[in-house]
Amino acid sequence: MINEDLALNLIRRAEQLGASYVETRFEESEEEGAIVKNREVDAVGYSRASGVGIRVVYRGALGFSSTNDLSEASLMKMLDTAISMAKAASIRIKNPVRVAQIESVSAKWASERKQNPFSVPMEEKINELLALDDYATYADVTFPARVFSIGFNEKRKLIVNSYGDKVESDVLRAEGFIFLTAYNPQKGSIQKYDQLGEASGWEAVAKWDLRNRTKELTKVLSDNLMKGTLPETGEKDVVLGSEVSGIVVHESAGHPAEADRILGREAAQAGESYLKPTSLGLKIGSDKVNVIDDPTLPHSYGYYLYDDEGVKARPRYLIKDGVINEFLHNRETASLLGAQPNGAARASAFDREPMVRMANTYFAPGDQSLDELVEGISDGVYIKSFMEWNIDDVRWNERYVGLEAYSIKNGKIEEPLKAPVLEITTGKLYSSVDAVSRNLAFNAATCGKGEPSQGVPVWTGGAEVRLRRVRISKR
Amino acid sequence: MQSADLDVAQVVVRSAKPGEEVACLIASTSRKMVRFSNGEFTVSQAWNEIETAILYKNRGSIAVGSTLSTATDAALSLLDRLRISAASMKPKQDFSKLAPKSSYKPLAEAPKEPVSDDMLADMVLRADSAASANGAERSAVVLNSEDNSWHLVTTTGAELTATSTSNHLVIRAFSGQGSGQGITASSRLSNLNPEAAGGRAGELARDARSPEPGEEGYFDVVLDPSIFANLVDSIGYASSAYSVESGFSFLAGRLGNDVAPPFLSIYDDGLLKDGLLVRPFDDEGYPTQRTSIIEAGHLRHYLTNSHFSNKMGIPNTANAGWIEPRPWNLEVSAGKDEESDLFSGHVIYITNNWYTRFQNYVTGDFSTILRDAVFEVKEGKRIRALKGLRLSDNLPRMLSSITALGNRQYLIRWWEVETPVLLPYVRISGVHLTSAG
Repeated sequence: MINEDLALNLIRRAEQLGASYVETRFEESEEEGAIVKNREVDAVGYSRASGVGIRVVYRGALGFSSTNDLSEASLMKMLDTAISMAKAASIRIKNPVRVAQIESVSAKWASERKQNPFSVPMEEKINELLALDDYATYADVTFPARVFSIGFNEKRKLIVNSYGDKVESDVLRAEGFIFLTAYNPQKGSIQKYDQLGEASGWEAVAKWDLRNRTKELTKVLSDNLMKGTLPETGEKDVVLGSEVSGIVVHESAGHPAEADRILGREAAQAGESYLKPTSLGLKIGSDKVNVIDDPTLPHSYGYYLYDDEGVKARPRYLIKDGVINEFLHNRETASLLGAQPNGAARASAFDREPMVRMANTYFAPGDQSLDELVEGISDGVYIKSFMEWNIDDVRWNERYVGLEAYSIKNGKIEEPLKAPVLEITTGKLYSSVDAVSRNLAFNAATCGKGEPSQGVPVWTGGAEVRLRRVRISKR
Repeated sequence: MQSADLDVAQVVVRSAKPGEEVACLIASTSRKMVRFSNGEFTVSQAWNEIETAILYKNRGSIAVGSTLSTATDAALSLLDRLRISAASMKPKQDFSKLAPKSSYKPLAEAPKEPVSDDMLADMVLRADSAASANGAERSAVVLNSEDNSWHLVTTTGAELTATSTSNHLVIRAFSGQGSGQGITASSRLSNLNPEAAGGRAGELARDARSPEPGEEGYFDVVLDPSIFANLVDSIGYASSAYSVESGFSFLAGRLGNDVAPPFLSIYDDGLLKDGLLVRPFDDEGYPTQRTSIIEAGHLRHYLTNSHFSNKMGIPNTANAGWIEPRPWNLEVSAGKDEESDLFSGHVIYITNNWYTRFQNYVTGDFSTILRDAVFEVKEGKRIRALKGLRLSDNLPRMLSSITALGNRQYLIRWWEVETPVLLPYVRISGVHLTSAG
């Protein structure tokens, strides 16, 4: 259970043992969900977790330990382990870890929710999912695999550190997904994974309107499968829908701005960055490119008001008018690069160290309508959504394969296209942007990073974006 | 694992009411990880965790749950919650069946190895030094060492205990614009070879330090075990009956068909010698086994639990997961070719990858980024290093286009390879490589 006295005891003991910084993160969580597959309940699930993560800086080295045995003896043992490991590592430290100290905080915050999802009967949740099956039908197309899920998780945390900071939080998130496979014997198959998530209660499910969402997705998949044609390969003007512009900025603006990558700390796993510590002020794209990461967006999936180091969250303007403007920092990287921590330290659970992470990253809107973006195109492609994507580990060479996509002819969106491929460098992509719509929209995603792996909830989002003369190829 | 924790499982199972079936699996992990980059340690981490997981079944209603609390009342409270949730389900035909009192043979436990923090730090430094000695300018290292134990009690009379250890060190070395990765993995920490992993990473980085942009096209390629393991991991996932039913598998509907050349066999083995995830019993209590997924090119088995075995009318391969069967340790049998023979003629040698994503799991259309050293090779000689390439192809097509396998196997586990895989080098023809230009 969350216990402030125990936290303070741990901090006192660590300081007595010689730690220069100590941080304890007590966490309790509760999760519930159901998966329905092909009109049958796969299973319902429920889990609870509670535990503590402890970080220490000892002789300039960083140690982390965690346990779910919350007895004082066990916690003291894990504290000793963290210090022992840091001590062993201190034989090879070139830049002793410094944890930036800023104005001390004592705060308590919670995400807004209207209806407690844990008190909604499971039967109601299951019925909501079972009903979706009726909407996955379309002429000449079958849907041999239909998987629907909704779930909820609530995390309560207490973060206390040796700087005197104390932050209590309570975040409730609603999550869901739709995964459909559409099939026609002559045309083959097409699939789409559609993830939903936000910081809300049971009311999120009604807001998502899953039935209509399933119906729409069914139509999109069917039309693409039955009527879609392969794209012509060559240089085209391209409009990216908000789902695509969102993943673009997440991968090629957000990740490379993570200061721990820039400093090489993640080189063995998640990789590094095309940005260097000296890249602030670098022109990376046209003046139309503005990218923001903002944890404070109400009800967002990546919502938080204080990060997992107890630093107050705020919007970060990663790219401003095409220029690299700000990196994402935790207390350690900010100290190393002479910056202020900007509230980007997140841990996926009590048993993970806080790392530099995004929250809700989006391509900031411009002032045009989608029609205006399309009007200016004589021969182009509209990629509204995607399925396959990836990017290299310095975040420069990227690829997005369209799922819902259309040809654009003489200023009009026309026929469905099958899997147009945009394979491009980050520099070329951002330099090719000449117009951005005013239509901001978000999608839920789970961002992966770290070893052990840490998936954290984020929104990716943006407005529709027009790229001039970029290469489109076939899958 | 403490005996008090074992008692929790027994209390939970004994509290089952008539007609209810309950399994309680207590998993305990003790783990340490040391990370290093740019010539210094960046973070050292330790975990001690015990999870209590419960399967609850009652006349076609199934609920699963877990708690990280070790208290008996928390486990009983979880069971009550699952009872309530399951009661609200419309019952379905329940194909699953927990194992009767199992006849599995407990494995002989290897003597416990002493693991000190100084020892872990030393291994990391030895890997880094070896990389430097072979031409690396800098490196990043991860060393993971973990002990796992499981205790399963079921209402059908099973009461089973097992332990398993897993260790791996991964080093990524950098030189100029080049990089290379080395891996050493074993169930025994003392069997790790940090010098070999570091030396290999350094050598690859050095030889790839001045890469040229690669051209798009279709090539014969040789895949290092690192990247081949990532693809075999995807094949293992696709072989789960859950994936087959859910639309996440290109192997659906192909059972009994030829899917690969006759010299290729892929196995799952819960008892693999020196395996990193050795489990003598699965989550339902059935004794694990060596299962041929692909044997001599034929797709022989999907990985199943009792539910999918009975529902699909195919053998139970003891890969439960109560809901989703999953592989334990994957193995690709060694081929007959000397590794040097794989590099005959003109090939692209790909040493590593990351970020594999599928456009369509049923068709197997996917792409993955080529990470670290890539070489154009002619008659066994590295002509030049390449950069900026992506493998954009179709997994079943690649599987059927395998032309040769090396005669030596390597044990691979790292960030991009979740299931441990034992496998050789592979040569595949006509692989599509693309570039962002």
